[in-house]
Amino acid sequence: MLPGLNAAAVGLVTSAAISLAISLRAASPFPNATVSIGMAVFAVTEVLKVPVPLAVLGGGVLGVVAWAAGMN
Amino acid sequence: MLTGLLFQLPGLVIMTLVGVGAASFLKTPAPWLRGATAGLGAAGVALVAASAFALTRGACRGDGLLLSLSAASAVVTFYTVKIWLFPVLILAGGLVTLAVNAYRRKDMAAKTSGDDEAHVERFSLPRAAGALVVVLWAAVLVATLVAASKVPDFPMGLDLWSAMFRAGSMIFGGEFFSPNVFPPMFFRLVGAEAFFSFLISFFLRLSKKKKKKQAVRSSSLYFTKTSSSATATLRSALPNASILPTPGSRARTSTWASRSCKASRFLFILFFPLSFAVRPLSSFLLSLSLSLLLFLPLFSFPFPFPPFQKKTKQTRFQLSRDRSSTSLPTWAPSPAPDPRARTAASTPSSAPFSGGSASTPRESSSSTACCRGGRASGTFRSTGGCSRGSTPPRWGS
Repeated sequence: MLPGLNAAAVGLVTSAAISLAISLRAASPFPNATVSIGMAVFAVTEVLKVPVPLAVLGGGVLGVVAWAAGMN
Repeated sequence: MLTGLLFQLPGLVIMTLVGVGAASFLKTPAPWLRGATAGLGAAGVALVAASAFALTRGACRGDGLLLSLSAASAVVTFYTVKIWLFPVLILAGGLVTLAVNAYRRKDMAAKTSGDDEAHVERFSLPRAAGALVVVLWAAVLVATLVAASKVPDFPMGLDLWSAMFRAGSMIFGGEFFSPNVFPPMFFRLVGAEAFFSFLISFFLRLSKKKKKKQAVRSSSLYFTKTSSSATATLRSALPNASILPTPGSRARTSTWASRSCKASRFLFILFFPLSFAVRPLSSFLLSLSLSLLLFLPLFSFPFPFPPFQKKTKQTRFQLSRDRSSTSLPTWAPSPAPDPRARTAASTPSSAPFSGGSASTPRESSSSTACCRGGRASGTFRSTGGCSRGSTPPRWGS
């Protein structure tokens, strides 16, 4: 029974991640750049194994850069 | 109770103080701060997605049925959010697994679960009392769900009770982001505008991520083996206890987890003067600094574990024997105990707090096994802190 319970619960996390992404894109002042930053952080943490704190801080820096550059 | 208190109270207090400080600060954020928040939010969502992928890989392990259950759960919960939907979906997933097990005539858990689940043993609660507890829990849960959906103006206290009881009812494991709790709590209580607080919470928990598995194992050891080991309990409870020196784990403690703890101290030193210099940020940073100041002594708690000892061939052999063993812990008096072990066992139960200078390499390896959870917990050996009363533990079996 436990594998099914875990699988269903993990589905909730997947759903939450998608909902978070959509709501964040809607609330962002530069939606396309926000999605790009998210994909970049995902890539550097999953593929390049960059430490997560550095990736989070890099995301914040990229956000400031996107605001300064007037990205959409 | 002590484990839960020490594990959750620092986060509760820190996030409350940060929330109070950030409440006024985030009402009208500066444009550059909105940009930074959007970038941090994107990074946070990316990490949530990475966690979802990792959890899906770990929980489903390529099984088509489990992947289908996970996908169906994601589709349904994305389409609609109801307070009763999350427990119903989780229960439905379990029932489907039961039905498929009965059809296939084999236990799916044997394929998908690791060694840790195989070592879980029964509590000493009688079956009738256990059934009563389950029935009572289910009755209160159903009553709470019905009342929350029927009563339009739920009083604040009952609303809090409802949210906490539903969240607590759905916790049946310890995973990052608490997968079955985080989504409903997020949709109900938080929202996108509080994403910055969520990221701070995430950032503060980063130092525990790499050692999460070890901490969970320590907790499961504590509860399943009912070992009253203050060492194992406090090690699993302290926020950064995993970076404390443990026997045989010097290489692991030099990972970025320890560096992130040092970075948090550096940020505190940096933030505290800034909180006075930068006026708009003062309330937020001051509260963050004060909360860190409150718990920094806990982060660097001088817990006197036994000193680092290199593993010997004997200890490796002993641990490999422990992994293969599934017997219960032996607490019977040894006919010819090691005099050093007798000395350690006769020490009062607060012995781990008074220093580990008397520990031998063999004791250190036993303490490691005690702290690292189920795999090495077949034959439970301990120092004085792990022993019950004055009964000396049996060394080797």
